[in-house]
Parts: sequence; C-alpha cells; structure tokens
Amino acid sequence: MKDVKYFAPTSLTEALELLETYGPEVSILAGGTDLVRDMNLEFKIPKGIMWIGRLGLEYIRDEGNLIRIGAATRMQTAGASPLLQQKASALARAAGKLASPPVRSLATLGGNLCTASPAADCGCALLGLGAEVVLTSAKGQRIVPLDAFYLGPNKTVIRPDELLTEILIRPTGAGEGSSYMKIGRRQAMTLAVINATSRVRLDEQGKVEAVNIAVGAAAPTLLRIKPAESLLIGQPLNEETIRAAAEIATKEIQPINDVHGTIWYRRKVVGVLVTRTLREAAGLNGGGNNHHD
Amino acid sequence: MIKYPITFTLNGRQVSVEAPATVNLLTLLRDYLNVTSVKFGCEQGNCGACTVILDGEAVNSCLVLAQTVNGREVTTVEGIGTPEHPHPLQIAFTEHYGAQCGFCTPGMIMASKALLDKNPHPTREEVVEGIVGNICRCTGYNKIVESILAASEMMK
Repeated sequence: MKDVKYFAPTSLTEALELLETYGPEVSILAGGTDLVRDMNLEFKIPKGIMWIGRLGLEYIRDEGNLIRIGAATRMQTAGASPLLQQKASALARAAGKLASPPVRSLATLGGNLCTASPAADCGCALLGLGAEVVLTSAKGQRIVPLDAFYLGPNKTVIRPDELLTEILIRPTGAGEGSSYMKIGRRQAMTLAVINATSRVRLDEQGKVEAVNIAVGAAAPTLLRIKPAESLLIGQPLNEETIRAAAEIATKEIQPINDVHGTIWYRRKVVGVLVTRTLREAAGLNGGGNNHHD
Repeated sequence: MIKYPITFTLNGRQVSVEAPATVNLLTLLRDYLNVTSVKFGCEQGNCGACTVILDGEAVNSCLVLAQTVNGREVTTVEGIGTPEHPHPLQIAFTEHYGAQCGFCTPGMIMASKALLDKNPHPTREEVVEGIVGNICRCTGYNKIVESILAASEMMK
C-alpha cells in the first residue's frame, strides 16, 4: 500500500498553509463518517489527510441578527443547541435526527455540506434556511450562499486551497419559522428518499413576505424550488396556495430511480413534504402528520 | 510505509502504538492492541458493533481515524467493570438475557453506557433512541431494552 501523509494542524493559520502547499492531494477529515467510511471500503484512499478537529471550529454564536456556526460543529451539538432549536429549528431537527447517536457524536455540519450529497439532511436544512458559508484560504475569505455552492453530486465550488470554516444563518424572527422533514426507508440510520425544508415569514396580514423552499434527493444537487417561492410571495398562505407551491415542486424536481426510491414515489412524496414543511414553518396546524415526530 | 505514533488512554491506562495514517480505531484496537471485544461489523457506521466511548461519547470506532485519538480517552467494555465487579449494565444484560449470540453486546453496552451517563433514568423510548445505531441480528431488542432499563433501576 502507498504511503498516506497525515497532518493534524493545531491552528487555522497552520491548516491554511498546509492547504496552500498540499491542497490538491489532501483530503480534509472532519468527523470521518464519510471519508473514513470511503477509506474502509477502498472507494477512496487519499494521498494525504488533514484532520481539522483541533482548530477550534466547534461553536455556535448568537450575534443578534446573525448566527455563526463553526464548520466542525457536530450533529449532536447542533441538535441540542437551544439557539438553533428556537431560531433555526429546521437545522436543529435535521442534525438531531441524523443517523444515530454514535454517528452524531462524530459527523460535522461542515462535512455534511462539503460531501455534497444530493440527499444531505443538514445541507437541505441549511439551503432552506438561506445559509451562507465562509470559505477561507491563506489568501483571504469569500462568502458563498449555499444556492451557489453545489456544482453536482459530491462537487462544490471549494478550491483545493480553501477550507469551509463557518456557516452563517439569519435567525428566524417575529412572524417567521422554519421546518425540516424527511421520508426515509426507516426512521433512523437512513438516507432520505426525499427531504424538504421551508422557511416562511408572514406579514401582519398573514401574507408571505419571504419564503425559501429546498428539497433533497430530488435532483443531482440539493434544490431550491424558486418558482414555488415566487408564486407564494405576497399571497396569503392557505391550503390553496400551499397546494399550488407543492405542485410546482412535483414538476421542478429531476429525481432518479434507485434502491432508495422510485421517480414516481419521489414525485408523489415531495409535494407532501413541501406542504407539511410550509404549514409547520408558518405555524399552521402543526405541519400535519409526520412519521418522524 | 510511514507509521505515526499514537499515545492515548485506553480503559484508564496510557498506551503508545505506531500505525499508518489509514488505520481506523477499530483496527487499532483489535489488531494492534488485542482488544477483541470491539467487533468488526460493517465498517460503515451502520451496525454499531464497534461502538466505543471516546471522551465520554459513544462513537463508531470504524469511522474514527486512529491518529485522531492521540491524547484522548477511549473506553471499551473491558474498561467499565471486571468479572468480580461488573458494571450494572453487565449484570443486567446477564440477568435479563440481553445477550443472545453476543456479537452486538459490547457495542450495545457501550452505546447504553453513554446514554445512561448523560441520562441516568431514560424512558423506554429514550433507550430505543439511544441504541438505534446498534443492530442485533438475533433481533433480541426487547430483552436488550429491558436490560438497559433494569441497569438504570439498579443505578438509582
């Protein structure tokens, strides 16, 4: 077997210098639930590994109109955070229900984004929340909104010399809520057959002032359903407008048949999840039935 | 092949070992340190047979790169009790038939220990949620859940 280099930098500066030098041949190790699994199964043996568990990147900071989350924040930390439960509840639920407790004490939010699975739980929640990511290199920083982050399955805009260091979320405020739901083949330890996130802000008349709808496992990347969002702006959120938005989602997605689910089923169920997450985000009859709660 | 030194606390004792960068904690424990309670199941984080406690939290040891445990604390089922003084979970799994073939048992016990350390008196539902990542192919889940609830009673 060939030699594999291992780096465990203890500061961000050191980590960025290493990426500047070795970037293209180094795989970044955060929680390991994807990378180490791929190494175990010999899907991927990197030339070098850089572990980012010693960079102080696990934190959730409340800055009033912005929540800053360190990229190495683990699922269990995010799921248990009262701040996220209150002001970014879609993310707290996605993180708190992902896989199993032993996986949640390893897997990180940054890892969930960088793996860029089209079915990612937290990726879907963060896309629906309208989150942005901070990409840092030795040369500087850039902020990329998540809807410009994914290029394809397992492909993102991150350059080899860059590290995803922070996730930025605008907290939900008055008249605003968010919701994440997932249909899997079982309740735990499962890849989403379809998942969906909605974030809704209503004005004083109950009309939609702002709305994001994101779905996963429905296209080559996680997907915002922008035509459904445009349709809802300025409208009251009721069963009629929600149904119209859900129908657009059914048509907008480009699902595939695979071992997890069929195109037919995914088109059926995406409308159901968009409906339920819109209702829950807007505080209408608790979002309806959801097997996951 | 380049080997890197790893020093960590295993069941309360400091150990030092050298291993290549690609070795995971499961292989380190079984093949380098002869800790065979930790079972090799799926190597994907799906089965829970290799569950150990790392710095107080249950983790799938197959998903942990061995290098990253440098300076940290790992506990396996050998570290929580002795035949003379077993842990309440070890007593309860014996008395309530929580083990059938026994392959999942070390992982089940470590997952439930991490649960009870955080939540000493869980409801049945919380117990089920706590071991959701551990598969028992004998399907003896009811007895396992009963064992964990009985251990929690014993610890009152």
